[in-house]
Amino acid sequence: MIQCVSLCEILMSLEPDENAIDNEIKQLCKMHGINELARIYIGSNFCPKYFLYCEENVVSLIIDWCEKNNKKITLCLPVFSERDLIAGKNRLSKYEKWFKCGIIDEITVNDLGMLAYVAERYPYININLGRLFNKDTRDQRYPEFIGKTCVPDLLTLKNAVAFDYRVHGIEFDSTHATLDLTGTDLQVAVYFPYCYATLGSICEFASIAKPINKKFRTNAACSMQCMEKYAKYQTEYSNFSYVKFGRAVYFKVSGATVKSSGDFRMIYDAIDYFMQKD
Amino acid sequence: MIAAGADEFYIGFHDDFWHDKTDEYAEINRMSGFGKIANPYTLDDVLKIAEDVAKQGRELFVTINSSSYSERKLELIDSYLEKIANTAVSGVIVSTPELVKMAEKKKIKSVASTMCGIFNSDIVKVYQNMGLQRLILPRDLSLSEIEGIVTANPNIEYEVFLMRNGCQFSDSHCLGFHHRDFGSICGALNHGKVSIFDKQNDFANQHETELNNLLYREGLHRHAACGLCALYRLVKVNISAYKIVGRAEPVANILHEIHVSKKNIEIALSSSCEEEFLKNMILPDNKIYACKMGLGCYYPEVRF
Repeated sequence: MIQCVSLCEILMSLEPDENAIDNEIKQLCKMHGINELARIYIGSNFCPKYFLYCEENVVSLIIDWCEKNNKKITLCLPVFSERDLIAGKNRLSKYEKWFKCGIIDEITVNDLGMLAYVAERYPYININLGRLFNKDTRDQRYPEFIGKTCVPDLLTLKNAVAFDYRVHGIEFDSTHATLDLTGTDLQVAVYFPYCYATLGSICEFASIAKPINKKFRTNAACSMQCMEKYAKYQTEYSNFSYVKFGRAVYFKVSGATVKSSGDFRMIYDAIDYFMQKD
Repeated sequence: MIAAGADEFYIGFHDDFWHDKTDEYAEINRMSGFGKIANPYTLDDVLKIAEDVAKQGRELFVTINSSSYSERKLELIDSYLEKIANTAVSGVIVSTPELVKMAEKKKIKSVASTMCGIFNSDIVKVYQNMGLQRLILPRDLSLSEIEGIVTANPNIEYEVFLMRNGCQFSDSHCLGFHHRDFGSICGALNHGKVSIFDKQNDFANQHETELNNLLYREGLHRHAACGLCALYRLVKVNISAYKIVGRAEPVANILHEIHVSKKNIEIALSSSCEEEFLKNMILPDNKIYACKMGLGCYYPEVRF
């Protein structure tokens, strides 16, 4: 198992200081029992605003840390709404200096449009299919369902459109107790311990400071309120827990068995780490 | 519904042998979890209905729009497509790019569901290159974004949601079951217990955050989801179809909404500017709830 951490969706909560970054990454690794960190994921899988608002100084510090500690970086891109598409591509181009020096050696994309774009625009970089490409149902309210072994649908397809493009790896959520990822030779990665259940373009937190008649607009500008707030839910029936962090709603899995052809990556997310910093 | 003004219909179907051939949780379409209540007809029934609809000069689309399908399920769906091809069915509403290709191969018109998550013009291009002929734009796009997408890719048909079934989340990435047992994820969250953690834990900030949450859960699209005010702009960019979601609603309500929508489209077509349209349009019957603060609007930016 290749141990990785994801700073996606929480990167802007980190103090922009070299020593603080070093300490935070070490704390995050300690939390997850990571003794040999191989890779860090940055950017966002879920929120174009988050990706656009990530400040370059914080990003640079993370990248410097990785260079110093000989770790690689994967840059994750969300699905850009039409309004942010050009800005997203422009912002992506600012990372090119790091692509070329090889410290960021992978881009994870989450839609076919960006897959096509990155494949053409950055032909030298490895491309991963992000967690939004995998749309297998995941629902903890049905324990007999998620208790099964899941072969993700994408891995069973003979003619998956996404594989018409140059794909290096695929990322998954821990949707079921056991994930059978043996159906591919691509580099597979699994996010743990939070599995996203649903996601939207209407951000609850972005609306907080807005007057009622301006709330809940799609893909609204924000002040990154998600770096200060999150919500926990307990369902009325059967008492299932969810966390809303940013635009996505997650449930936590207690364990995940992964079967893979080769070494798979376990991407430990930083949601618990962020929440315990309260 | 045709007399009220409906031009197109969309419909799902069930197959009594689908679960035998797949598994107990497998879904043909997004509403399969509700069994025959949501999908009372077999595919053979649907083909007959399509003939009746076609005889009256209208179109009928069949939905095959679960979030994801394995290869085995696609093989079964291919047999459905085989039956649908060369019938009175106008097209299939599909949820994956692979299904677009399968439909096109059988010369069936494909319509990309909101489940495809086509949020920008680049994604449109990819689907268009596969042969897609129409797409349903996600509910969570603003009017200016819709206009941008249509302008960038004019040679494809567009469909938008107009009435009912607003959602807090994006169809394309809402991956819980919509089953009778526990309902949707959004329903479970809205009715559940919520605790909000705010690093700014003074009273004023907490009040704002919690009030926002209350409005999000109790206000946003809870009483209505309506896009009538946007019709002038939508008509201007030649949207091909306006969707009224009808499931689980009394027929009388649906008939009324079809009628009001058609009337408003006529008003939009005859208006010289948006201001004129907004002044003359017919507001929904439930405007006392629907038209407040943008919380019942698909496109709140028009009025608010």
